[in-house]
Amino acid sequence: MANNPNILETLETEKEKLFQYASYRLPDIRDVEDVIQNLYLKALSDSNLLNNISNLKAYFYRVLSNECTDILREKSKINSVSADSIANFDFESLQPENFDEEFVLINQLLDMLPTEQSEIIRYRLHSNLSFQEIADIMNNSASTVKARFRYGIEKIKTNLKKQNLL
Amino acid sequence: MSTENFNHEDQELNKVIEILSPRFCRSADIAFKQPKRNFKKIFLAFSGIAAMLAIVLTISFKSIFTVSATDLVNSALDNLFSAENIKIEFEILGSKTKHDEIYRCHSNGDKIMGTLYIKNVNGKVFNRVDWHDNENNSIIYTGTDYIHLKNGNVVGKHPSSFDKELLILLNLDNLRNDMPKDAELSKIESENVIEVKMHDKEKNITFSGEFLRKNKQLVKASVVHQGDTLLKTKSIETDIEIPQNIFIEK
Repeated sequence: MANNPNILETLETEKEKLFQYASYRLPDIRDVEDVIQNLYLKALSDSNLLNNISNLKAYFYRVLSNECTDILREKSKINSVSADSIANFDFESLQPENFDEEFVLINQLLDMLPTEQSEIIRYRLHSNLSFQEIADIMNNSASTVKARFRYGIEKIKTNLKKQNLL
Repeated sequence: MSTENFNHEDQELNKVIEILSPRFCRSADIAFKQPKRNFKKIFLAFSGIAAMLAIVLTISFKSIFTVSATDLVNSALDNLFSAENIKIEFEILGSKTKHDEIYRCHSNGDKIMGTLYIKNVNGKVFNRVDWHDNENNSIIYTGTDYIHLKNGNVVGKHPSSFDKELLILLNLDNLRNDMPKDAELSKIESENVIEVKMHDKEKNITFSGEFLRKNKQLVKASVVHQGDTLLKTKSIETDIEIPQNIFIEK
């Protein structure tokens, strides 16, 4: 059993944000539910190890991020977005009408970025974490995280402008 | 740069942020499921269908068992999988999922009974699993489609070529690759029965198959993980008639 009540407390508090993070990384809702449930089971089974972790929240996001990457890799769904796919964008593409369209749009745009930038954007916009919280997850300073967030957004902006979409 | 330019640039950045911000969030219906027994046990999740087909793992002894029982085991397995009709009643430890197979095996799950039907019609393999639960869940693989029934009514359907996967399993090709390299093999021979076991130390999981000498039949199979029986057969029948209409949605 989890010796440290903080483990379960942290998971309960963060579960909605963790879910939204995974939700915009994994296309299949069943995979999303699985990674969240597995995170919980992992937390329980590794409770002794987790008792020594000072920032549980950051740890859970790191584990979740890795799990998502593993699943995507396994399913070979990591497709780098070529210039062509951005070139195919039009105004309509930027106005998704449902979750599936939104998922594709967001992931195509984020795939243009280096992982450290796209991850920061995901944490910030999908899990609503503060820059300091993201810095804790990524073992960086808040200012670095903030700068990378801006670089990422600017890069997407530049690409969209090239296509006259902004 | 003028203030106007700054404002314009900020607007563009905000527009990008807006595009990247979710508007159609999936709803989070998360209820962490408390394992009922030993929390420290490894959560062993493999597809329920795959779990059921772990029965079939016993046939892998065919390729790796090198003792005197080999011929008997070979014959028994050949008899089983060359049969036109197979009915296996089984019990798993597992819980309900949204995956195709409805239930998945894991150590901390509940006991769930099911019946697996396999029918081979001119090389085309039909599969059906009836879960003995309150909802009367059944799943059918027709060879081209997956169909989910509740109380006999279709509640889900999508294209699936599961029969091909099953055939691949039956043909051993995949199973052989999945076998742990350092698994311990053992056999217990009695006058009437040969029991063969494969134990994977690392995962602490044991696959067992029991074969009758008399009629060269596989009569029992089980998968045990850390002392918990994840899957065991209640009965394995091959000389029975299975009506084809049970594989058709009504």
